[in-house]
Amino acid sequence: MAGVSAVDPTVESSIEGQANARAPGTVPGSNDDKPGLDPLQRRWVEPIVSLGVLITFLLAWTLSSQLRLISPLVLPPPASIATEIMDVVRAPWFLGDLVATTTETIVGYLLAAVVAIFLGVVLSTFRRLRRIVYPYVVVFQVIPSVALAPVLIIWLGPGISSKIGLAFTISFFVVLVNTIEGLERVPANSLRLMTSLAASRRQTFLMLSLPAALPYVFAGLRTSATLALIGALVGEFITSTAGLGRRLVEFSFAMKADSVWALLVLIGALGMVLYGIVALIDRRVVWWRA
Amino acid sequence: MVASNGSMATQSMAHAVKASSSSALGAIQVEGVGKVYPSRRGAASIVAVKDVSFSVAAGEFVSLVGPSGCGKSTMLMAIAGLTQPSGGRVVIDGQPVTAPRRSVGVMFQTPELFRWRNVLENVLLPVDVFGLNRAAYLERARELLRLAGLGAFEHAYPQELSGGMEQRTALCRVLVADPSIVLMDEPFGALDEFTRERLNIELLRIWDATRKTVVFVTHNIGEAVFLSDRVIVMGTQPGRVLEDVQVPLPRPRTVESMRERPYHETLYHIRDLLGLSH
Amino acid sequence: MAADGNGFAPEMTTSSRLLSPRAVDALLTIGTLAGLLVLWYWANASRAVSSLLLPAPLAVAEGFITLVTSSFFYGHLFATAFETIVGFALAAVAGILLAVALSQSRFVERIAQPYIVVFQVLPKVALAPVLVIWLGFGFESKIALSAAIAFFPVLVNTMKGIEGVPANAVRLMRSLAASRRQVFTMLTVPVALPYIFAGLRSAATLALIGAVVGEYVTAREGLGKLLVTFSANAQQPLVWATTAVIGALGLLLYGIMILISRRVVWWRA
Ligand SMILES: Nc1ncnc2c1ncn2[C@@H]1O[C@H](COP(=O)(O)OP(=O)(O)O)[C@@H](O)[C@H]1O
Ligand SMILES: [Mg+2]
Repeated sequence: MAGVSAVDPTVESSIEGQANARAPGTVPGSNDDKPGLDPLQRRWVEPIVSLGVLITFLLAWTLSSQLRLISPLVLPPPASIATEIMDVVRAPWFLGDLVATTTETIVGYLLAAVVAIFLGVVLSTFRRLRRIVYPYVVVFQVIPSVALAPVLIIWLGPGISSKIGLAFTISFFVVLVNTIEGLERVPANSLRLMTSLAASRRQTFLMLSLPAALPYVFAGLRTSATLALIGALVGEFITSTAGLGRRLVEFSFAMKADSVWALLVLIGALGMVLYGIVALIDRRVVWWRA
Repeated sequence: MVASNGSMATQSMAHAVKASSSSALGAIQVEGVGKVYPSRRGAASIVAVKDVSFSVAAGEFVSLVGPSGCGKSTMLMAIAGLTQPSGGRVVIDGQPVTAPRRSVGVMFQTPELFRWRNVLENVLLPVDVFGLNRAAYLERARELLRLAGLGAFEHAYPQELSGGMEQRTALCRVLVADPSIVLMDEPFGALDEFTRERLNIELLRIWDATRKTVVFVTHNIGEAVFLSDRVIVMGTQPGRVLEDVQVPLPRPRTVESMRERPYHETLYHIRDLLGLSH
Repeated sequence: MAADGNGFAPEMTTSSRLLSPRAVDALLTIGTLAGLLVLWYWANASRAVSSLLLPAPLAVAEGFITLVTSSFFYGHLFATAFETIVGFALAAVAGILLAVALSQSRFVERIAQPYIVVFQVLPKVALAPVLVIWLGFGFESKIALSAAIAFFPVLVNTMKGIEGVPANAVRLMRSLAASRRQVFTMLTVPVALPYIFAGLRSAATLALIGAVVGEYVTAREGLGKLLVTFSANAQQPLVWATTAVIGALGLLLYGIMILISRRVVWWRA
């Protein structure tokens, strides 16, 4: 899937860029001397202001609901969404739907990760093959894979498999492209160093190429973690027997605004958790990046 | 790569550049300058330099030498008005420095050429920023480029240049609007020894003819001695002036100057000051 | 064919070959496609695969012709293209403007950072049903979804581009006593442009995804709606043909973005 192609300056820069925090004077027109706040102050002031912004936002939202500036049918006040979240979580159907969507996402994601990384390694090992196949990779990366949803449903049925299929398709290409890219960008001199040590291909791969490519691979894995959930949800939108996406559509058409928003928050939380897990693993595995 | 027509060319480069200001502007007084950077994570803040004083007469060539981290760049940025000292002040031609001014040009270790401008357009950057008439400076820019051995490259883009050519372009850029003071922060530090030496010689010729005030930062002692009237030797923790060393080498200097006794004596004196001799 | 990689063909020099290795590879690329087509044809002809699962290549081709010669097709194509382009344009303008606004103050930027990270990770497609309820079955809801999905890559990339301005280049401009405006137009914009275009490229594809997903949920017209309808009626060849059209649209948008970006940020190469 394209869109969020993780290579390109985008993530490339986030690989190197994240660590070296913005150098002083990078903000156009800023003065080297005026870092805005004293670092000590910054540690306290910024989180507090950040939280303040959130609280102000929630208060303004509540107030405009109370003053009937926003119809509760469109956007219920935060408090009712919060209560509804508790109700939704306790509802008998919730666990089943959560498990369905989570399973689709995780299975599709893991399959995509394993296959894509394996294929990436194969393709960058056999350069000839890579050259022949790469145009297709590029094309499929750019094509919106959600368009494959109906086809996948025809193939795999309305159940969980078609959603796994879509989660797989949508997250596959980012990981593949990033793996190939990462393996491609191993510094030439490092390779020469390994050759000079008479390292075997296997040693070169394990000691150099793999670790060198990992930051790219994980950049892809992070992006596709979000994409896999999107795949599962879109699949459920079209047809399904279970899942949070299906429930969301149902509630929407029943005009249950409270439940819709409660579900949106919960789906968002699921997305955050999935991404968070991958980010955590990333930080553990590629510890040398920071 | 680097132009081989170096010596003859720069002779006339000097003439071309001489044309304008010969008034004795460009005197710098650094008066008790200190600079404290607040450190990250709330630990103790860093005293970059403490109570640094020196002065540079108009038309003088002065180098700042010292180990890395001793505050050379910080001093240069303070003179440029790019950073405000925490204590003391910098005075240029009688006026305290509070902000960057047009009469002071700065050159960095990285050429900082803009990839979307060709060589000529890069040289004309100050003209554009100052809102001056490009046409009026076109000939001067071309002349500078020609004499820097880049005449054939005015339409080339920075991506196509070697490191030495990039720094020559940066040198033309800093000279194009005729500043009275040129501040250089390890301008040739990233270049190989051969290119560096050739550019140093060219720099001296230009300076000989124009007598702009130059403050030149380097950690190469030989380079500092060869180029300068005075070398200000700095030490670390905190950054401070160890000694203001006069260089008793006659001008104009050539490669031969580096064979002379005063050159070596000064060089070793500075090495001693920096504790490099043992 | 070349004896590639086995290292036992030292006599074979490239110059003696009829075709350069590049050309051979390109032919092989095309050959792969042809091979797949043959395999596909054979799978159907031999009934190894049910035509319900995978209609024959000729049936899909026929479906494609039926589709593009039908009277209804262009209305749907136009609807999706319109939603995508408007959604993309909104996302582009909003993303760039917000990034520029945020970069004006580092304090504000740092306050906004956690919110941007959170919203970036949220699955925006989940908004599809809600937007349909809010904005109706028409194109407004699809434009909104399109824009919501395409917005973040533009915002994040623009911010990254502005951050990517080298500190010394800023010092250079400031040493020339350049105004904030001059620093912005002469330095920040050109430095950020390659990043902005990387974001816009992603956004173009995402905008199309937003439009199609929105149409899946409910729509009066659009390729997504067409796809769901064909699929519900088990019109397999038309499903495949429509999928191909959406794919082609995605490629076209991406290609246009690449072309524009090569023109605008020509110095990148
Ligand atoms: N922007 C800054 N923030 C914090 N510390 C800085 C900054 N710039 C320089 N320093 C510190 O000030 C000291 C002097 O730096 P600098 O002037 O760059 O030295 P030099 O150019 O001689 O190597 C160093 O210890 C450096 O770490
Ligand atoms: Mg320095």
